[in-house]
Amino acid sequence: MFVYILRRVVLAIPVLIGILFLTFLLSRLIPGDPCRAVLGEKATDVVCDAFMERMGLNKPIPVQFAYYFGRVLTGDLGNSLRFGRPVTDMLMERLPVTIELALLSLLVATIVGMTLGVVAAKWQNSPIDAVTMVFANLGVSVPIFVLGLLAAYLFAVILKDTPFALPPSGRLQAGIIVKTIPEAWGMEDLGGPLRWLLDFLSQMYVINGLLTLNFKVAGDAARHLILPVIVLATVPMSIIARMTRSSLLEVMTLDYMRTARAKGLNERNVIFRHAMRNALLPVVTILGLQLGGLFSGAVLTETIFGLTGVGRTLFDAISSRDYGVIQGFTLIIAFMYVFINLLVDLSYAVLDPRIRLS
Amino acid sequence: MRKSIFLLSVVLILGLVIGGCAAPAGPGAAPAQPATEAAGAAAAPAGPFEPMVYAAENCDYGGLFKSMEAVDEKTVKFTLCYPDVAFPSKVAFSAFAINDADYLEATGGGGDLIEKPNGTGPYMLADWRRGDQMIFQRFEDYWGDKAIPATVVFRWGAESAQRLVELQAGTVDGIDGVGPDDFATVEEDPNLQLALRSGTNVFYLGMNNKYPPFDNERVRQAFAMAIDRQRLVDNFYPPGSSVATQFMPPAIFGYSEGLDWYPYDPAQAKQILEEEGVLPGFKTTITYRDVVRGYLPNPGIVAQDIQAQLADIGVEVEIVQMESGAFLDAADRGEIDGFHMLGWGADYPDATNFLDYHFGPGASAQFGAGFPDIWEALKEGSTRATPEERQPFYDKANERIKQHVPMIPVAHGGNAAAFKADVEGAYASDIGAEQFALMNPGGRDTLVWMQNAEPIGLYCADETDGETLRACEQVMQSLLAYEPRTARVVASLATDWAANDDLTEWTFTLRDGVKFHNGATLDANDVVLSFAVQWDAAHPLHVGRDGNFTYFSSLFNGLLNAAPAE
Repeated sequence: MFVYILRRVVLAIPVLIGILFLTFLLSRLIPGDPCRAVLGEKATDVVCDAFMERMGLNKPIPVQFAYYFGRVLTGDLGNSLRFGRPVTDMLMERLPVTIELALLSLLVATIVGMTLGVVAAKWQNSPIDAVTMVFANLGVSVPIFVLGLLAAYLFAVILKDTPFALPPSGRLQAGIIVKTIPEAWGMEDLGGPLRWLLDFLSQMYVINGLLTLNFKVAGDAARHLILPVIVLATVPMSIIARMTRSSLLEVMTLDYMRTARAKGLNERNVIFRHAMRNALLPVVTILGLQLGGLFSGAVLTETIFGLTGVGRTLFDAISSRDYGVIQGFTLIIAFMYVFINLLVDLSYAVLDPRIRLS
Repeated sequence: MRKSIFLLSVVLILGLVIGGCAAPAGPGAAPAQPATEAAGAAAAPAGPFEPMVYAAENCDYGGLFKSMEAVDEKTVKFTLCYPDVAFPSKVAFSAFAINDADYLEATGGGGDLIEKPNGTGPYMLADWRRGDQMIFQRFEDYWGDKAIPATVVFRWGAESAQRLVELQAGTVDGIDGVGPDDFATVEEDPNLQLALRSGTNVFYLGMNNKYPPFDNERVRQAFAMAIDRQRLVDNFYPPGSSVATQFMPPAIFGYSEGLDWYPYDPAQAKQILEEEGVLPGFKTTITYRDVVRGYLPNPGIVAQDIQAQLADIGVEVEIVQMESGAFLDAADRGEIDGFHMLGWGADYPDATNFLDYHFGPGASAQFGAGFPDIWEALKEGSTRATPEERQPFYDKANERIKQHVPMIPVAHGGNAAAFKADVEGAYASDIGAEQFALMNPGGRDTLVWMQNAEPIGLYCADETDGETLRACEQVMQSLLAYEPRTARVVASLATDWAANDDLTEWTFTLRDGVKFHNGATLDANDVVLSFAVQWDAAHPLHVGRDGNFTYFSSLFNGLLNAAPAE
């Protein structure tokens, strides 16, 4: 197992370098002047010349790449052209927002999607199956921005002043000041990886609120997450439901299922102990892909619900030719894809003992 | 094969680790230029007041400033290399806010200056949670009337629909950038109020007189009669917009009351074009960029409508869309034959920002050769000190522009903010600089404002973005200010200002008793150092957020000790 993981990690290196190179090249091919995209179109030639010089953008692209590559190897992802801040600092702020949203959405999508899939498979070709699948198809068919705006309008405006009212956007009620975990714990002098981890977790307000016993923050943050999580979960939920249904139906026609029933097992045991485990393999693959997609593709949800996460930041960076952010964020997203795929592969061995990782 | 890849990867990792250890500093981390003290530079004083002087050796560097000096504790004098009648209007801009000299030095010209501003404004920054919100609290030692809401919160959201839902939900008190389709929704909702912002911009259809038949003034005048500007504004602009009667927007000094543009008369236009031999059979182009701006919210549709209008008089027009940067460069170099669609928004509310920039002797080549009679009027206007003395010359310039028709002014694009109905004193500033200290959010302690984007940094000397400058306006103050509803230049940290006869020396008297948020008292050295660190690219405190100081360089014609352009 260890050798397998090591080999996968080593093989991921050329992939990440390739992505780094391609992203670097493609970002340079975006039409438009990065100086005026950052400083505004009224920036004079003198100002722009100085800007390009200072940012090293007047050097040949291979030279720029060599410099950038050298810095990445030392853990420095460079600075944002637009914000003038280290990309790693921006990642520290924005990645937790996306991770919190993505994990919660995937959790909801998995629970609801698998339940719908099992229900539909159990009562195949019945009205329950039809209703369940129509619901699942609706989830894939309704555009996120329509669903998001409708949900926000319904819960924030129409249901205003009722117990069902929910905030339409943002992460916390306006005016609430949140302390970081190290601040709340009186560990402001703490350094090193633990500080890094606590700062990272501090940006996930639900976790922050729970760890610092600030339940007002935790509760308010959770309320703000309800709508974006539901909206973001709809597409993966639908895909998971359909995949679970088809996979389960396929497994339930196999011989060992007949054996299980012949042994006198009740239907619940047949489905959950014998069928589900095998049916889960393709579902887990989908889960991995969906999670990777959620990390990078939550642009619309983040935009509609005012969440400054990875997707939204990357989208803005492309509009403003912010090369540092485009490169740094893409690299991290690629790294997460690779990592998640590794986890998915490892989970196969757990789900199906016949699979040996070597 | 897999083994080979594995081995190759191991070699790569080793190579990268070794390479990484020896990696050179990136180009963005190039060593700073050596800090060279300009002549007359002095350190911030400790103890008794020692007036600070900062001066260039001469004016050869091409910029506006020759020197800036603290005459005494409450008097500052700027000596310019050449007259600048718009100097008060420029120094009122929020990019030129005054910092405490000691704080400037303590922050090294960057760092905390960006995230922990120390201004003299009615609010102090209490908390800035990046990505979420910015919280301002009332500054109790403010020199003027205390801010009405104790707390102001800035939030942001890129979508106008999202902002409107927030306002309707009651979670914010005011929003910026009401979507054009939502004006009616806001107006019909008794819980909301709409605040229109008249356009301090202009959209125009440019023509370059180096290309025939646009070299013929009568032909240009004919085209001026051929465009139904009212139709364009009615169909493609939001409420609050207006048909342009001249290049100057009505809200900006230099606008000529009573001056009107050529009436829409396609028959007359066609007749002139036939007389001049342009019709029949004239084909040309409309070049534009597909970039939405306040002065042009629907570029593609407007281009098509103008095409249709010109087709009505027999002119065949091809629409050419260019990439934004390439389009601006081509226009500036005078390379666009035919019509081009462009616009301009105010940097500071003065005629020089519109007329001199486009029609003065140093203007770009987008309209071809300039017009000496316009230059003469602008020159006369720029050498008079008072608005009353200046206005007749801008009237003359506007008339000459109408006569020569280097472009057809089409529209001043408006937009709007919206507030809860119970917010008293709500308004939308024409220049986007709302003072929330003057608004009463229905008796509540907190006013929540939602705008399009997050401010980038609060050292606004090094910022250009309007969303950022608005946040700065709450905390920082300049020597002068723009009156909230009129954009007229009024006193702020300076109570009086005056120029010498040739407008090359401007003297400002500072207000007594002004405190910074950190408790320091405003004096003339704060003003000198605040300007000097922007002016001198070699100053050790010339750091900022990214070191561009774009507005200083643009409005005052360059920096001292700037690196030579390649």
